[in-house]
Amino acid sequence: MNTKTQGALVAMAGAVVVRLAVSGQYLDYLKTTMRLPLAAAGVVLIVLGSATLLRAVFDTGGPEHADATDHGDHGDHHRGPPIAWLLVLPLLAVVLVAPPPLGADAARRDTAASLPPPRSSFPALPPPRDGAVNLPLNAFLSRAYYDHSDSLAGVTLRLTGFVVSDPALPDGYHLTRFQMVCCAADAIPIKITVRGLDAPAPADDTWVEVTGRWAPPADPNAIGVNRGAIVDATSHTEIPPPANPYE
Amino acid sequence: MVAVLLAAVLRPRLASWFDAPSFQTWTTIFVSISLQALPFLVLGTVVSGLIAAVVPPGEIAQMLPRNRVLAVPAAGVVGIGLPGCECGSVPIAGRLIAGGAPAAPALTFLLAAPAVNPVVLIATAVAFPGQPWFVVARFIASLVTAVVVGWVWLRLGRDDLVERARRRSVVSGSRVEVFRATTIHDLLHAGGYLVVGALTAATLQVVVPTSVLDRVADAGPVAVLALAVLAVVLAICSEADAFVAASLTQFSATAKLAFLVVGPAVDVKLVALQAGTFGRAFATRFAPVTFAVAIASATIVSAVLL
Repeated sequence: MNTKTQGALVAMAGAVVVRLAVSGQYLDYLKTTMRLPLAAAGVVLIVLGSATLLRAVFDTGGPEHADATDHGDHGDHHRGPPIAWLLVLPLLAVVLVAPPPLGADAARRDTAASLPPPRSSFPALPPPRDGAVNLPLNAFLSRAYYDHSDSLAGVTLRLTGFVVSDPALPDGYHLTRFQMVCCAADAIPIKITVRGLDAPAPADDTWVEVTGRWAPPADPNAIGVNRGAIVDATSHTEIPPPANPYE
Repeated sequence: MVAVLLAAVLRPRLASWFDAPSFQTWTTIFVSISLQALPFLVLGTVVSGLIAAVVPPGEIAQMLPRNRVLAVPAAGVVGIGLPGCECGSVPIAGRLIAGGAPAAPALTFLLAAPAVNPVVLIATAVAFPGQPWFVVARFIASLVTAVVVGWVWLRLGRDDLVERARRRSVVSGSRVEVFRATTIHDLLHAGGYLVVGALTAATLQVVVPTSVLDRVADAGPVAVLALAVLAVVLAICSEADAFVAASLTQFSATAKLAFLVVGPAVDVKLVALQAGTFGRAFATRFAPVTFAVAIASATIVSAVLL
């Protein structure tokens, strides 16, 4: 890889990264707090790449000349490492494939029983808006498993997630959302069961807003995951995917 | 250019691959790991470029204690001051060795910096609320791992194994030019190997079924080994791993601690980066030694503290 190509590749990578940060597409892969570091890294890449490119183009007297025209053999350090060509792969992946945020396929793959950490006390639920309490799925799951004061009982809830269908649920589906710490590689699916719908489940990965009530465990002495996380739905509406698909 | 041509020719076939859900999951994870590591890698290579531009070669060695046995823990303590991910500390350690620092303390710094810095410890405290001893255990076990591996290297390691780092380009010219040339070289180099790591980690995440974990959770020492291997396979950032560990509720505290001590020291992405920076012969010796020391350290610290 000659000096010109090195500069162009790094500057291009910077441009792609800045675009991801500015457009908000980075939210499909990363946490919101990564926006600034990502943009800053992109700007550094653009400056570094442009400086290298300009140097290679205008400095035609020195050893760079030989590099730029690919004839010289001035030692390894002017010629970039061949491994650097691999940097093209993530760029192509972002530009050509533009992979969607993690969805039903990844949720089905992740079958380990990863649970929210046990808690013993919960704050009061937020006040209802338009007749229902908005609750993130992880908050719902945590209360369903561990809140023995049954704070969810009788409350009309509004939950948002995407559909993961399950043949074992003829009148419902798994309402799912990934919880992320840093990036999609560490994301864990939070799945709750929605039932009681008379229409067939929407297609996998369809985003829905479900209104309904928590179904208390059949066995009142059950603890933790055995209490289940089930919602008896009264309605559900398809919605456009949210800007930040993760919790 | 070749890749673009190939993409154009194979487009009809690729389109059906691109739409396959498993391919999309794989690509999402690959892109996520690459993007997530990028800011830390850029920070690491910029620091590496600054070291090359500002610190004259040979002077780094003089900043450390003369006694090599003491220089190792000193380098570990220096690691506390650099908040960053593991991807950033590899090029910095490589640059330190290129600048004439002895290998053992540089490697201790490499292991300590991503594991014991304040950002990682605060993240651990948040992920394990009400369990301050867990944070203390992580700090001690990681620092002990870094120092012990440094000492093992001092005793058994051979300097020719890090020759690749020593041979690294030393650019002459103005300070700005040294900075520019060093930074872009280290960035392209480490970046390429980071992609190797991200490809491997994404593939393993998609191919290895997580249900395996549930089966070994109660299996004592096997569970500890299982989470240590999971840390190697997942290759997640040291600032995020505590939250993942906290969600593995079916595992013992010792197993979770092993996950947190192994992760920032050995994972597929790091081994690729280390192989690129120091050479393959180095990585094939360093990774297993570090892995074993990390598990032993986590097990002992957990037995004493948790």
